[in-house]
Amino acid sequence: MRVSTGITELDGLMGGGFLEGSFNLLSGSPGAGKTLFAINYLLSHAENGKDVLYVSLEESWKNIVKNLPGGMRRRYEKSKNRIHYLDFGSIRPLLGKEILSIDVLAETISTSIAVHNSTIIVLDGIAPLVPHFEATKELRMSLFELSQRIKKMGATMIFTTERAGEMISRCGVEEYLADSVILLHYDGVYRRLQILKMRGSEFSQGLHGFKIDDEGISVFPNILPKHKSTEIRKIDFGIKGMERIIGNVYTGDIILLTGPPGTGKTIMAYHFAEEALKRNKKVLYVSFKEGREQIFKRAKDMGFDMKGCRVIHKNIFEINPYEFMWRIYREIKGVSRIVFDGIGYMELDEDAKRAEYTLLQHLKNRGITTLITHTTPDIISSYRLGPTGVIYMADNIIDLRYAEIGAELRKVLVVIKSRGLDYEKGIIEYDIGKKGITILGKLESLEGVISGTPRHLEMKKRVEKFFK
Amino acid sequence: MGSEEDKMVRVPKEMYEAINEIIKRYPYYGWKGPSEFVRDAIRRYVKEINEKEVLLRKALGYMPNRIEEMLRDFMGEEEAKEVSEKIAAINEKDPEEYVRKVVDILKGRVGQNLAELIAKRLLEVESYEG
Repeated sequence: MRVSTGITELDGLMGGGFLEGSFNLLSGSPGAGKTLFAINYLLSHAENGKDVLYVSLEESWKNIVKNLPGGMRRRYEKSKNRIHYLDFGSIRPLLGKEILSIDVLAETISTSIAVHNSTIIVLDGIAPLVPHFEATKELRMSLFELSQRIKKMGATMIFTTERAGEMISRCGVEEYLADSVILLHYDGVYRRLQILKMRGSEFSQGLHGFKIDDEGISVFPNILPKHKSTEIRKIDFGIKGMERIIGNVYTGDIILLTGPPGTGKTIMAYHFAEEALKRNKKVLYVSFKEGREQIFKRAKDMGFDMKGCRVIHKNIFEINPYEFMWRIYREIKGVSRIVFDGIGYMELDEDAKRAEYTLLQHLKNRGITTLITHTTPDIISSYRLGPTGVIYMADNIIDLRYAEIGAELRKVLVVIKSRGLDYEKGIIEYDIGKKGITILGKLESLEGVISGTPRHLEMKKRVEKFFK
Repeated sequence: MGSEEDKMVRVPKEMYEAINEIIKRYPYYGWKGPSEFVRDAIRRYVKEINEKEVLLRKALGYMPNRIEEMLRDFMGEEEAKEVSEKIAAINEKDPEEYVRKVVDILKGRVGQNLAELIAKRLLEVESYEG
């Protein structure tokens, strides 16, 4: 039997939750969210009608309740009749250190478990126990004794400890006694959760995202649920003549549009989105630049009707990779096309790369056609196509550029990568007008277009002939 | 001088000699002989016992409230009140027996070890503060 951790997504990563009647270690640096995680465990079971018990050796229960986020405090108020506590810190000044002996602790906790019939227990902060033991061997034995007594009563307990440097736990022994070990990481910006041990079952490895919000704890696994692959169908991009240039586009394809500002990437994205909307298909538009109203207005000014689009606006510098991945996952039910508009050039950490790969892979499997626009920093002659992960995953890469032709800065595109062989290898000129993008044709008489300063081939031939 | 109502008590020779030694060493106490010393000592001791008894009874009287106060932070208001009401309902004159009953009530909530510790410390603190 399994006992929920209080977080459905985490249960899924642990084979269903904690083992019933188990001793589970929650370790992390100060501020990592151990106490809130533990309280969330209690609240979720209390909300399901179970009596639960919180045992504190340090911080007072009153303080903990006072400092709960608003939503968690409201959850507590609704079910506080089922939440019992033993605040050893409050009686320690009067009764002295004797109360922290394992005998007293184990007996008091067992009595309370019996009185309230609570099987969901949290022992928060075992640090005050440590000075009572001369050797870690003694601490280990005492904790073992405590764990056995608690388990014997059928209780499922979380006990929290602070990490000491790179060690998993404060004394380096706690993890050996635990049936499962969960590590909370916090670098001051992002929170990560890692399952290090799960006795008797498989668990999902690696770092997963987690967040503390008003209502409690949310976990964002580094994997997404599996979906059956869908049938692959040919689709229209949405710009007249585009298929002849990039080859056939299929459902589930990932298309990367890369180029400097002003080359019309966003307008191409409007074409791409509107094409699906016209066929009553759902489109998700994720913008890293503009909000919903700005997108709709800009699109409308150019004659596009984007009203049917579901829009998400995110600041790219505030993205928590796994949280973002799950946000998208929850929004894509029934969606046939998705646009990620305005990916800038930035270094991605390992989690971001993993989230990016997992999400794109998922979209591909589900047959959702993805268009990503990436802004390169150089106006002319840039060879930065975009994030490596996206380049690797993309089925089609279209490079948009400026070319100086006849004292004008004109726009050209070149297909860098296409899924099939049937695509245009030449350089294509296009224009942006009142109705969006118009493909003008191939620039056959020029060379050096990609460098930004083309030359007429005819002139070159004449010069060569002259010298011969 | 003794009267007919006076009773004799025996003390060992060594103690008798020790008393004489003290009388000689501290003449400013004004003991006229060993008998007066023993009477004075008994008076002081009985007074001390009575005072302790008063303090103990006072401590026992305070106990329900002190326990409620302590348990309120330890395990919550309702549970503390429940325990304290049970303790307040104890009808026992003998202090030793009273404490045993308090421990019995407490142990049902916090276990034998902590119950004894609470009762012991409360009596110590009350007696000292009293």
